[in-house]
Amino acid sequence: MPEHSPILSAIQRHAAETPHAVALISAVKERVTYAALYEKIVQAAAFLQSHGLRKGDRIALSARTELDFIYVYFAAHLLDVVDVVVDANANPKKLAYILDLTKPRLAFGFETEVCVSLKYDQIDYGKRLESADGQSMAADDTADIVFTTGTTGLPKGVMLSHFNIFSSADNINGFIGNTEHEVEVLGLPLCHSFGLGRLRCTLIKGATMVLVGSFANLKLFFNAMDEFHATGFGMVPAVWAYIRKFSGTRISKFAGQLKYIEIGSAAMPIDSKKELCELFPNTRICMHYGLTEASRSAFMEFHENMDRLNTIGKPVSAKVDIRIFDENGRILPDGEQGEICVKGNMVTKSYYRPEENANAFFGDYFRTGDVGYRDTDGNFYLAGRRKELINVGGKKVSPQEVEDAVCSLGVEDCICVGMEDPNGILGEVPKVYIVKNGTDMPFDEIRRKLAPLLEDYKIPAAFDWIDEIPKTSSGKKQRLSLRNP
Amino acid sequence: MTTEDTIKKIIAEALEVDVEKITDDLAINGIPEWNSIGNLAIINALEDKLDISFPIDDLFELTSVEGIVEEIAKLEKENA
Repeated sequence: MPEHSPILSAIQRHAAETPHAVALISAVKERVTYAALYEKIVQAAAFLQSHGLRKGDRIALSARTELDFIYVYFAAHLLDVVDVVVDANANPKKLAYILDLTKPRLAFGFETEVCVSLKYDQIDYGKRLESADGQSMAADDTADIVFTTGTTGLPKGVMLSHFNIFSSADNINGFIGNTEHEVEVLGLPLCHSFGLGRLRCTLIKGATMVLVGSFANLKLFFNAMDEFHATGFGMVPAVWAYIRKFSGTRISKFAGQLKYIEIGSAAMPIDSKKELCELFPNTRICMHYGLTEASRSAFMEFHENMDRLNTIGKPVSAKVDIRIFDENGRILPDGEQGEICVKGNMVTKSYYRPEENANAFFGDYFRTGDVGYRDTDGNFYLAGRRKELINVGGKKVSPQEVEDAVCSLGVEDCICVGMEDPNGILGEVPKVYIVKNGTDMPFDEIRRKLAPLLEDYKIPAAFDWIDEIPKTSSGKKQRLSLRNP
Repeated sequence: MTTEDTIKKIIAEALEVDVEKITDDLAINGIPEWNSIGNLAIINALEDKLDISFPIDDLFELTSVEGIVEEIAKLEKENA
């Protein structure tokens, strides 16, 4: 029994009790029952074992829709091997940093020279799992290391235990009200936290997930919703803007069948929330607030909060507590602004590099870096961000990383801030102010030269000149003073 | 009438890839650059540079290079 992993225990239980229930439907419409899913996980674990992997080792893996990714991801959990899920399309420098730090023994789904790299079709599912006697495994052991954008540009590894990732999924299912009858179409990539989180929610309930992997081709997404009678899906606000631009209100034809929509990762305009309520009058439209270190801490349902659509909601479950702290670590009364801090069953215990824990917690409460307050009814509201990260359609961008890249081209100095996306899709996009006379290069040339240095979404959407870069007396750039001028 | 080569060049520029990659049968998700953000860039660039406006119902159907070329020919014929 995989007792150390409550998620695997749930999958094993579904395999025994409802073996013919469909767990997964692949992009090419291959159906995988719960019995087959658990068998594949065990076989993939045997394959990992045959490569000498054991408790505490790490593997790195990437995917958008591949079923084998799911088998290997859970196979690692079965052996208490740690998963480092990466986006293979990430900046090569960032990927190299992650791999150098975590030193995986094997990599799946992408090429690397750091360790043996395998394609998913190289997995031999014919091996037998040996007993892992003598290795004690516990729910508090690290299951995943997830990398999140740090303020300096270098990603920070967040260690999440088997208990953390199960608890998060359990909290979410409890709030949304998911059951084993759900069929969810996943347009989010599996290698991103939101997509992987939705997968875990589905599998612990014994429900069905249809893997589409992208919203880019909406026709494909809608066809899957239709064909498999989807009851729910997850999206970021930028996806909603994309759906509206490319298909109008066509999606409302699914209003009768959709029981839930989960939204998160970035702010959503109030008008979009109202429109969703009109288009889906009987659907639970649930928006989460959270971060990698404290996944889905708060939730709010749109219809239940029509008179306060700007709230981020209340703690997701009774097992999660959110408080507002002052800078000295004292809890503030309702109505007063301070830092939003979260305690609960899904909150990480530590970053991968222990030195990054400094100032990360007030006691058991994780410090989000976001500023907010609580009203007398217990609803939380965001009032700003202490951290200066730019949220591009749900992907976080460190302004310092962009500034470093611009200055590496020979620009004297610059400052990067978030601005409203002029296309109205991504929420925020990066804008760079370059100090006057700090370069002879035209903005177009700078933009072109940044292409090999930064991922697409980090490349500034706009440039401007600035006489002087605003700085504190200690020389720290004051980016928030230039935000959305 | 806008030529197929012009359309392919605009698509390649919008995706920031070599024009050789823009084959007739290339579709959304066919290359990593043609994701949802790339798709948006393509439509914005085509509307901007060719001074056309895609109807929403047609946008939904535009999932390949071939489809885009046919759609633009149709729009230009209607506007002629």
